[in-house]
Amino acid sequence: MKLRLILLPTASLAAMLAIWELAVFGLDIPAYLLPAPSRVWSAAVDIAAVLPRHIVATLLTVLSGFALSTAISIPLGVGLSVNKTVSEALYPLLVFANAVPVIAVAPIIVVMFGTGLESRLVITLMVCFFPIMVATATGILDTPREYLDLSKSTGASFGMELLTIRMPHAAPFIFSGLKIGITLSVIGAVVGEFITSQKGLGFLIVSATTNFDLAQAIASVVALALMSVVLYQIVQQVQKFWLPWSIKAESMT
Amino acid sequence: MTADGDRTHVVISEVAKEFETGATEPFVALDDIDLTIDRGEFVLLLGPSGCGKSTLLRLIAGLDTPTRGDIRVSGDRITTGFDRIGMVFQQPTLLPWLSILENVVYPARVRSRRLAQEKRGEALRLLEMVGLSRVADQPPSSLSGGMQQRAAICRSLILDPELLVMDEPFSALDAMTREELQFELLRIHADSGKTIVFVTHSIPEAVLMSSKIVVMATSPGRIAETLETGMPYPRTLDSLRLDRARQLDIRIRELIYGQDRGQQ
Repeated sequence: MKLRLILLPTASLAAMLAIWELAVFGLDIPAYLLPAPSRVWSAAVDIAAVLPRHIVATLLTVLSGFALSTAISIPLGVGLSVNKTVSEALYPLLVFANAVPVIAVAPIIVVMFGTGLESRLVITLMVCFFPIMVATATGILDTPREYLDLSKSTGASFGMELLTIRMPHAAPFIFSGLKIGITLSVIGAVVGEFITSQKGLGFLIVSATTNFDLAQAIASVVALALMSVVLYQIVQQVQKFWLPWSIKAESMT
Repeated sequence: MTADGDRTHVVISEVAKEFETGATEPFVALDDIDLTIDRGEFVLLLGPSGCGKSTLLRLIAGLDTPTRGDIRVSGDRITTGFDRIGMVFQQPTLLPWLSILENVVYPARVRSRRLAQEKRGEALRLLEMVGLSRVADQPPSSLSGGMQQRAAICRSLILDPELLVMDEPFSALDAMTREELQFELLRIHADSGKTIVFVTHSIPEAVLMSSKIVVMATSPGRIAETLETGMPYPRTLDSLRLDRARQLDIRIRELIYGQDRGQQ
């Protein structure tokens, strides 16, 4: 059963690549429009020496932006859910902030924060704070009444209830937000690199396309997607390790 | 039982509970409830749905506050956050992120980490008593409903409260597990002498378990009659075949369904 789950997608991927390869050669498509997979592979081998440097640069933006978003969004989500005044005062503004297309404000952010890491952090934060915050608030508010009755019957204070009942109950919700957040962080980091950076996978894509080197651009995109998948899996594994009770039996298989 | 004359444990006087419904008149869930419970009594609150028995229990447990009147436990007025009561709910309500042992010490954890640590031995002793010591470190999800409810009973006992309140604790269990737990609880009551207030909608359960049955009626929720059970201990399955049990059964049915249908 497990093997099947690996073999089937591998087979369809191989088939897709084969069709792509054959189509490019059979239809004689020029490489500056669509490079064949084999060409993408050789481009990847060509940039293999510099790739780690760019991956590390992007990863630095992704992880620091994600950490910043988490540090801001979780307390904000808790605040919104437990305090009506905070929620009424801030929530509409946060919805508006989230509605602003980040690509539109990115140039403004660069003017304000310069071309360094700061700008890319702010852009990443703008992309991924919202889902983490909403997931936190949803989890806190979702706490079943029976759990609250239990804590009340033991005489728990509000803070103790938050710590021992509401936060643990919200934890799987928060992880759902974090899983969305980590992938959005990658997007935010790349948007930042498109605009300001002299390194990173986003920069690599921009510089490759300006040279019509699509093979190199696609190789960079694949590296980016792989990075995103690996980061997502890391968050998933942390949840499995830390909150084994929150992973349903079916998704463990 | 203390011989110092301080036998009265819970005093409920002129208690009413109303809920705002948005209509002009609030919904009267409980009206004019007077009830005195002595130390060590096993009181069953029994009645049809809507009679306010669970509402009354929540007031006694300090989960809600009465609209009027007052409730005193050992002379102290109940307020929310009152923590000298052990409570068992209809569902086990074990926290899925804690092990069984951690769930049992949860009421101690609320007070301090140190107390939780100190109570671990006591928790193991309680789990041993209900046959769960083997699964102390397992998550709640690995236990059956009956085992989970046993753990919940241990949790209600961990701080050795004088008063246990139980809201239909066995109603979600299958019939056999239910019987087992009824006798287990009777044994706990006999050994500990704790006062127990227990809500049920099962007449046989009320007759089997109680020292006193409070039969309640609807619209508004009120006490129809308080019956002294007056059956010998220890209670066994044969207790339900005693003449007294039959009399109680008939009287309770009369109170609930009306005079003419009580004999059916």
